[in-house]
Amino acid sequence: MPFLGLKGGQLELFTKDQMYDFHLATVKVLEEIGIAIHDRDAANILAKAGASVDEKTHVVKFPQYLVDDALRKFPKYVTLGARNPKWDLNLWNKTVYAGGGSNAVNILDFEGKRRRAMLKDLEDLTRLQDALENVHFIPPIVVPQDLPRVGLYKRCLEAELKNTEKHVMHQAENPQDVRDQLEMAVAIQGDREEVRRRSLVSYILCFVSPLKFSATNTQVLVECAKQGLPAFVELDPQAGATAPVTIVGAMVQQNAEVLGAVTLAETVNPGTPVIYTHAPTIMDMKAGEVSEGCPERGLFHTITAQIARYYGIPACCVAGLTDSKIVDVQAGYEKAFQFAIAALAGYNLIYSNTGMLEGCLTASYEQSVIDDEIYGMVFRFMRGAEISDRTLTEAVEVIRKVGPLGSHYLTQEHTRKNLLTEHWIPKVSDRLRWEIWEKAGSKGTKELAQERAKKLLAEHKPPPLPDEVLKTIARIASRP
Amino acid sequence: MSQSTAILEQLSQAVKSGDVEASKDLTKKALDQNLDPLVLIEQGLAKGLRTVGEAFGRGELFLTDLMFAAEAMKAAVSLVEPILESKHKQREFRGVYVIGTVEGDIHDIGKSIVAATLEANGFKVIDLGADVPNSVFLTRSEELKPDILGMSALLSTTMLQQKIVAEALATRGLRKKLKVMVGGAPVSADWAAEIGADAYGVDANDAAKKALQLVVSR
Repeated sequence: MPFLGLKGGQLELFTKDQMYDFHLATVKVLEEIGIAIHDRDAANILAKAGASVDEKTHVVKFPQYLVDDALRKFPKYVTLGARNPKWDLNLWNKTVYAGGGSNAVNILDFEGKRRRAMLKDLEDLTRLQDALENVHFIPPIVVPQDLPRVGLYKRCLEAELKNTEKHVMHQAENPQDVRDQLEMAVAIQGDREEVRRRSLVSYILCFVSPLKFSATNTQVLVECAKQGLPAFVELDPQAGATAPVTIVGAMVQQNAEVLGAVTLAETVNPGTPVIYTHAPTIMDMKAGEVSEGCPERGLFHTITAQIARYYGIPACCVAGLTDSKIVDVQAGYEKAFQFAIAALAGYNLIYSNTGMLEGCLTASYEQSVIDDEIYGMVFRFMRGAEISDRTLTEAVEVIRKVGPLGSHYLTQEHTRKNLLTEHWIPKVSDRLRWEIWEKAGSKGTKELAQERAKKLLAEHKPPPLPDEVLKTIARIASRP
Repeated sequence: MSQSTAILEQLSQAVKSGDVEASKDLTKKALDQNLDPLVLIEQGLAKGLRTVGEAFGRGELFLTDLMFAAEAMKAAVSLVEPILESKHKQREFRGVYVIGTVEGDIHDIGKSIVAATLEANGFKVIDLGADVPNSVFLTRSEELKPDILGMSALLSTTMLQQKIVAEALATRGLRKKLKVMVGGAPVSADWAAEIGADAYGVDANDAAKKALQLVVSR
């Protein structure tokens, strides 16, 4: 059974004092070094609010009071809506949700061949991840290579909205694209006010480090702010390459970048729902490539979840990544390690890259199912164990009932009543004895996952959207 | 649906849902209505337990479901037995199965699960418990004349008892009519062959399947 809205945050490595110092270092970066914002309108808005702007370099320096002001303005509580309100994401303090995969360009198909991702894959993977109970929101899982580049995001959004009832975390190319996608959300949700309250689409914006905001990203952020739409402000520092090599150094820079973007959004429109988002990595100096599966990520995650909580801003991390190219052991351990730490760190949203391999270049149906299994295990741990008068009394009573003269607890009401909440029931993990396992075909995880993926694909169909709505969103999606 | 079909269906349902009280109440009601006690068991209670046993075998139900169903059936059957005796009637079983965990081994749970599964498959099961002395296996085999004797061992040290009992049964000339089955974590098909056992069950469902094969081939 699905358990929604579990509490994380059990893992805290730093003290409040350390967080305060960390914040002060960030403020120093924003005030003394600044961020290059390559959009004149945005820079002007900040200048009017008290920032200093260098017309030649585009560097904007943020006075402390401007940042503090923004920290007071963003909503501390955000609801991200879903077509089926059962899947609404209520971003309370430390409430953790997991999300689907992210923008792959390849598919590792059921035969193990790597090929280009197509629209059909986006539809199928969205539908598959819609069926997975531990995946709570859906990003664009693949970028279909058979779609025209013009209007790409809108067409993807149309495919996603048709194939999931969960919240869709999306992206936009420019301000007009934001407005078009908003129109699509309104078509489904009925009216603009409902979208304001619990928008079923949100927008993720990836800024590039170090300390520079491109014109397009800045404009999209400003548009989201103007429309009051939820925006994921994402920074992806690469420690040693686009950010300082130390864990703390990379995170201070990232924090300055995120606070810079948040300050812009809240200056444009106080109350804009912003979500502190990041995908930090290290540069592997041997390979000359960033490492997505690195253990340092666990430290980036614990610091960031804590600083976001210190500010009271909803937070999202990109986790569950692997450097492996195939559905294998490395994919399993890297994903499980990262996801467990991200969940225990207490992010509201774990953009957990369900089904992603090779960083997030390749998507796999089998891996999607395996990742759901990993989340299930972690969520079971997070649900914890209740030590209370009730549970202790019941425990002593059932021990008394069976006692030294009895032989088992299998036929105790206590067992029957608590089984499904106390024990996690695996979907693909094998627990058979050797002989039985052998007789069942000696199947490994990948084969079992493939069977489950095929079964879910054959069976799961989210309720269709009404014809009128389908027509409307298709019309908007095909608009040039 | 006639009254008796209706109550048989309810009996089966009560066992399926592992409801001990409902199974007992419905059994009393059925006996009051003069339902044939053998029909009551076979087409009511036992049918329910069989359904659960099969579903457990397919991985659709939990072990607790099976054990609760067996418990409900046992409680209900204990109400019917005195009536069967008074009418000199006997239930028809697929076979009689004596089961126990071997001497020096106090592990009871695996054996109990096998016992419940055997009951679900229509065996009359006599459970000797755990840490059963070798001599008790021998005397009970002689007295009860079961079709099958099943011995469970969890420890690699206690599994040797299975061999000792199997050989002693042969020495006493009891093996012609009595089949011997072994099971338990360290036990394997190879071990079963080595000690001359007739079958080995890798888990409870497999044990029931092998037991059925043994009584059919008899």
